[in-house]
Amino acid sequence: MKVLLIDDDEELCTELSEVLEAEGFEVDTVFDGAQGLKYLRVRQYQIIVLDLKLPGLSGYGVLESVKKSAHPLKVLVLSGKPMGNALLKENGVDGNGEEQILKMADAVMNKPFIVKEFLRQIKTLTKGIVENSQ
Amino acid sequence: MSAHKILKLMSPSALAVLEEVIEFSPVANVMVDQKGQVLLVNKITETLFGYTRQELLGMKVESLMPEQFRANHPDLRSGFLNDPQARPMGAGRDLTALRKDGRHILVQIGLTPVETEQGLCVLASIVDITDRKLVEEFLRRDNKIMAQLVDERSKELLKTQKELKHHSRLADIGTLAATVAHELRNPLGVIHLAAYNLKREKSDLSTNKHLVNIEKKVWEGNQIIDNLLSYARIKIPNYEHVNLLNILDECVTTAQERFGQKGVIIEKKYAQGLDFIDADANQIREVFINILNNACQAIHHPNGRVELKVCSKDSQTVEVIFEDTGEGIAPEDLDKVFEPFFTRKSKGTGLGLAICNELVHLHQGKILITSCQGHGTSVTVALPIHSRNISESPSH
Repeated sequence: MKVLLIDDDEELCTELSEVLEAEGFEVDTVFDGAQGLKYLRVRQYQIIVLDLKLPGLSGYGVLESVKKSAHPLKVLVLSGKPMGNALLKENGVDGNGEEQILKMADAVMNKPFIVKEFLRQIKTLTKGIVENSQ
Repeated sequence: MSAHKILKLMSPSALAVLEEVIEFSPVANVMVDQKGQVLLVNKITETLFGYTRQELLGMKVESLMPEQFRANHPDLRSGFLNDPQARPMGAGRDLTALRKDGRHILVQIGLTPVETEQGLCVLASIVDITDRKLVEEFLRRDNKIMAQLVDERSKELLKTQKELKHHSRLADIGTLAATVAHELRNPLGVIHLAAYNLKREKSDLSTNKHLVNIEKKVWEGNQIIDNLLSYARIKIPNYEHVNLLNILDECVTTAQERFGQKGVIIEKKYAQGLDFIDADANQIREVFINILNNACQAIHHPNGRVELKVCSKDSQTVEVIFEDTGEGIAPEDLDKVFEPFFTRKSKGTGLGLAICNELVHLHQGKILITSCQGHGTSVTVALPIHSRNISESPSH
């Protein structure tokens, strides 16, 4: 099962890759949105773990592009700003509506997240996906 | 030169003119002899006092003043005639005269001694100042009202200014909180991931103890960020018909683990029929969790107890009372506990009760704290059962 991890925080990528690899996932890591889309064009993934605040093309841009494609991949969004909490809700996330992100993403996790909960989400989202070994 | 000296110098024809002037003067002129008998009045005197000229002539002048001034008046007249100097009567006081119909009028009187064939007389020139006094009184009252209004407006302005300052402070906190949240949550997340990986790779006990501490502190840090954000982003409640007891039970379940670690027992006493109220479930949950957290943090001894009561004093309000057996609050701190950033705890933002206070007030409710230092604290959250705002929601 292949995961594309898109986050500009290198240490986060290192630690999260290890977590995923320990669970048997194969992980590619990129640090910006444009690079992410490039990887998506040439490689096959089953799931994307995506940070919203990225240099250049934002996480929202990547999410929109992925979800508009013919065969949209599952996307788990990681957010530094609290999402999905009625008490902490604000009007915009990086200039885009929180509701649209919540609608497009298959799952959203606010940082810092409980690792076990993160793994549970990843496993739920990838359950039933048949790996294409292309 | 005084008036009576001028009179002495006048020719008979000039005196006749003067008689005309006096007769049609807008000032009432009353001349009395040494015994106080009226000898001469002009036309306006009739209007002023309501008597005819015939009635006035020969009348005792004391009849034109209220009862209480009459007895003393002959002495005052003798005094004047012994020292005949033209002067105002009453030395700056407002004088009262009595009309035929019994009405009192306010007057100003000037006195002039006049030499006549019947001896030295007194000419009193009387001006009715009742209307002027009335206007003055109105003006005084209006001025007072105006002053009160200005005072009230100034207070309102000061209040608005204070609120604006408060809101601008909140906006600053909001911006700061959003930045801090985003910038801190990422590193907190990485610290947590790193701790998880360490624990996974090296599971010996000593390392684990420190890693557990790291994880604990990551969540504490995250809680501080949440508190700051929720204070900065408090907004109008989104009213729904919610089950208050269920919300309370959920909060108790959440807090149970922490209470359990301290051996604190939670006792529930819910009155019947107070399940549903109109409220914002998320906000009310936040209030209850904050109060329960405070109760837990206040208990430092074994066998601690928290009693939860749900009751109602009237059909309009439901009261949720949290009574703990914790350390209590110092009397001098009681009125400060709702101030944002006030805390006596070594850890914490001092925003918990400030948030509770804002949220309860947004629900048109009240929050009351009583405490006995060393024995415990009681927090009462009184919430209206019905909200007018709920009818605005299309789902109801």
